[in-house]
Amino acid sequence: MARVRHLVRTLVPFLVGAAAFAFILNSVVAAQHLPEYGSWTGIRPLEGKLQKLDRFASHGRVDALVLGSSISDFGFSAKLLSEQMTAATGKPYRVFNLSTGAAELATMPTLYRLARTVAKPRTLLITVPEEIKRPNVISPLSPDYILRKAPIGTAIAHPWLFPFEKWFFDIPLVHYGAPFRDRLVFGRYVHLASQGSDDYAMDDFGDSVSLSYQTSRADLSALRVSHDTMLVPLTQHRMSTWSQHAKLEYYFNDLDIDAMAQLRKLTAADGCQIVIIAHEVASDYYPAPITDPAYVRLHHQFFTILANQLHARLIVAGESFKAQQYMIMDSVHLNAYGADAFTRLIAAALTPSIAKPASQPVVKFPTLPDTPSSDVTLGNFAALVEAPKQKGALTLRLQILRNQAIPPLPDVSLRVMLRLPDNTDISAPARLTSATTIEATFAALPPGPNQMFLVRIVYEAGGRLAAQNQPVAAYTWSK
Amino acid sequence: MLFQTPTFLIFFLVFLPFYLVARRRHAVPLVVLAASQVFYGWWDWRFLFLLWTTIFTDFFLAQRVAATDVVWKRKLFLATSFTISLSLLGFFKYWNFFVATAVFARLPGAGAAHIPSLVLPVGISFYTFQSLSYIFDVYRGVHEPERNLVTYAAFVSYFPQLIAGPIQRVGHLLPQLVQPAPVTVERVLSGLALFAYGFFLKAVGDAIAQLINPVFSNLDHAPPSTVVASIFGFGLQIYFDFNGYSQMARGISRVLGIELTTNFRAPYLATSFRQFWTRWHITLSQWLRDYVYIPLGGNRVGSLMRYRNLMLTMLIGGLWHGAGWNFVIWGGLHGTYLVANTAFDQSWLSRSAAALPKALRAGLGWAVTFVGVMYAWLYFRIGTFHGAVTANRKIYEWLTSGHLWPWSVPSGLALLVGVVLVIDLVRRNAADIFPTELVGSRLALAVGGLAGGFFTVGLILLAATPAQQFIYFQF
Repeated sequence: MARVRHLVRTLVPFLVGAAAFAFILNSVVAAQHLPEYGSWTGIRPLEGKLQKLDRFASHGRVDALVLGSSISDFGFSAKLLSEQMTAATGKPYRVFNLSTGAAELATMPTLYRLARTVAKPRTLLITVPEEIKRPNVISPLSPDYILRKAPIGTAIAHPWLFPFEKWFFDIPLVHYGAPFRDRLVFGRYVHLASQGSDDYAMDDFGDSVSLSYQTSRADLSALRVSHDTMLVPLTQHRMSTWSQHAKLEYYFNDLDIDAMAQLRKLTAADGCQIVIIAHEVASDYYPAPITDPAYVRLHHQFFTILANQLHARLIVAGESFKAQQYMIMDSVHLNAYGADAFTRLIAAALTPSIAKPASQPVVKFPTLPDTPSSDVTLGNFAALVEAPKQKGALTLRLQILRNQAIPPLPDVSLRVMLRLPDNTDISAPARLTSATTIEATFAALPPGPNQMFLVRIVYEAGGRLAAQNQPVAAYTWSK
Repeated sequence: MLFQTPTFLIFFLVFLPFYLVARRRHAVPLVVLAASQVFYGWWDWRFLFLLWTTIFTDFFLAQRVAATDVVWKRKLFLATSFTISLSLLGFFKYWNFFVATAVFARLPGAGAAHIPSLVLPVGISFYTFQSLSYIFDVYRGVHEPERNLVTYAAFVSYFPQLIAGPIQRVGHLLPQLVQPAPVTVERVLSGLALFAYGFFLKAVGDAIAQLINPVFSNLDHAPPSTVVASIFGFGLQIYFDFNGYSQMARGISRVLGIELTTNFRAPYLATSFRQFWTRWHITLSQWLRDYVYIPLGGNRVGSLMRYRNLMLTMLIGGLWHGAGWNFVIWGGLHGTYLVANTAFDQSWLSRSAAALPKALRAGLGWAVTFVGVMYAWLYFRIGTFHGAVTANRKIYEWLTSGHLWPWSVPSGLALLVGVVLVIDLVRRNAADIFPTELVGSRLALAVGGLAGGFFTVGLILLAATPAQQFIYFQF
């Protein structure tokens, strides 16, 4: 008894002291506003999305989860699908987009397991393009490679660890330890490398939002031609005589096939239905979907085999999707306008009560110069905005991004410049109303609907206007 | 297997129950030996053969040394042991250095010599010296030879100190392996606290490295003041890194009820070079004193011979650290410092300086020692002739620039370094920062708070950065 009392008397104060320090430091870290470092997964945007999904799930059930690569990260709108499904069903329907850059089929089980640490969706929308069968290796710099090398790699090897690791890495001291250290020790975020995703906003539904266009018609044609001819479909005879496994092996590698088995098992355990959505690179939709019969046959074969293997419903709505140039960010990705148009088609295919959109309206927009352009008022982030519906003097308020990758606006007089559908430029002095909002008032504008303007922030240099490269996250028109 | 990695934590947690059972059955050496083989073999199991060659050689030859009174036979056995151990060390550690030097000097036939790409067996310098000290002590009659091979092998390969010391003497470690002290809650908590402090030191060292490594990899284009700051930074880094390792090793061992010798005692507060070497890498400097300096004649000879002994001892010490001329220069510089220090102490200058106020003398002594030690680190860090010349040129440019303090040290890092130096100041004469009796006192809450603080801050410092090897693993 005396030994136990001695043990307690010595151990308790020591442990209390140790825990107290950790608790205080944890509270200090939790109170800071620190950037995401991706300390668990090694992929900053993905971990940022997971945090968003956590908040999203805390406000209600997650009905559907979108998984895919950057094609669906930019080119699919969970926000719009939520709105459309809610309106059609008469009850809240909530969709979250957990797509992440460069994800492949083999990545999907990990993404799904990550999502499950927060919420179990009723529907899983797997949004993928058809691809050439890859070798059975995880290529360096692929998300799978990074995930396996990151701390989450232990949970990927032993999936029962996922909830424990999620809990551990949600502790502020653990999750934000690295940025806190950088700020405290080095005075700046020395380990926070800028990356492409920093240039785009993300909405509360997990969609990456791009209002920009960054390509040329030549780029679009080049990728489309190569994509058109890179695969050979199975002959009719083989399709009818080969086993499902043989057909599967024709299109998919072992990593993909293993991922499908994992997904089937996981979703079956959760009572979650899988829907496969065929979604191609942007150039395949411009100026109209590819109609080459061999390609169309291959397209169908690929997705039918995939859907059969996953016991999934298949939606191949893209065959009727024509992307206009203002809907395209670059040759691979749609921008926010393209994402909306594509999502409307998917919503209609998902639920019969949503009418399929009538043929796309003719939208007038200025000629989009090839990028990079000799026009110095055009930077990488010239944004497309819809024309206002009202008439008279209107104020355009632009919400701009600000993070470690984007320097703050310079302290010079800025202007907001619009290119109208008739290719004339007008500009107005800009006012900075906060660190992330800038606005300008235009006296008279041609009113919408079905018109787009090309907007950019410019500054005067040597008597000329030049682009201030500033990504636009959102915009509003007001009187 | 690095102490600060989850792999080691798992290893230790698996080892612990076996160890506790072994204590009751008086089988500690056997369990420690088995664990040490796993620990060492984890890095590269093939080098276990090398370790065992040293163990077998010194174990059996020590028996032969003790078994005979014939002087020449005793000397022969001792020389055989030294030859075998030093040959292994020489081949694996110094072969490339010898051949490269011969080629550089254009010695006949050197050009045709094959330079194999040898991997340096980790910790070879440490366990070779530890084993040699044993046979030397047996030869001198200081210690009886160990009759049990398992116990002796456990002594040479004791995992907490196998890779980078502290180098232990047979009289200190071996009895503890046979009969460790009781595992009390105070001892365990004190060990954990010591480990936490070492972990923190290692983390601060790594943080400093992140600032200075880019400078050393681009010396030619770095501003002079940055180069000077980085040399001082390296001096701090190596202290935090090696002291951190030593504290972690001692902490782990204390949990097991086995005390390891202190390796550092506030070295950067030393007020003379002689004092520095009683505070820096204490176990090595004592080894060099007892097995090199004293056998050479030590202080019992005339001044010139004494200076020679000092210089030779430090040159060997330099070469022990690494197979490169930069380490020889580093050792030579410290030899010169010690010779100058001794000469000063024996001269009329010292007697004149005695008239100065004690604080002023100490301050001057500290400044000269600190700057001298920091300057010598330059050769430790920069392994090339061109690099050393460039660094010296940058130091000259800095000294003649008129802007002696244009450094910008991140305040957070300065604060962390300051914490360590204040601890050194407060505990400069203590064996360690968290002695066992402190945990059992009313200060347990504060000790727990400090330990938790060191560990938590260490974790944050190392967060999202790959585990870095300890600098002394290469020696």
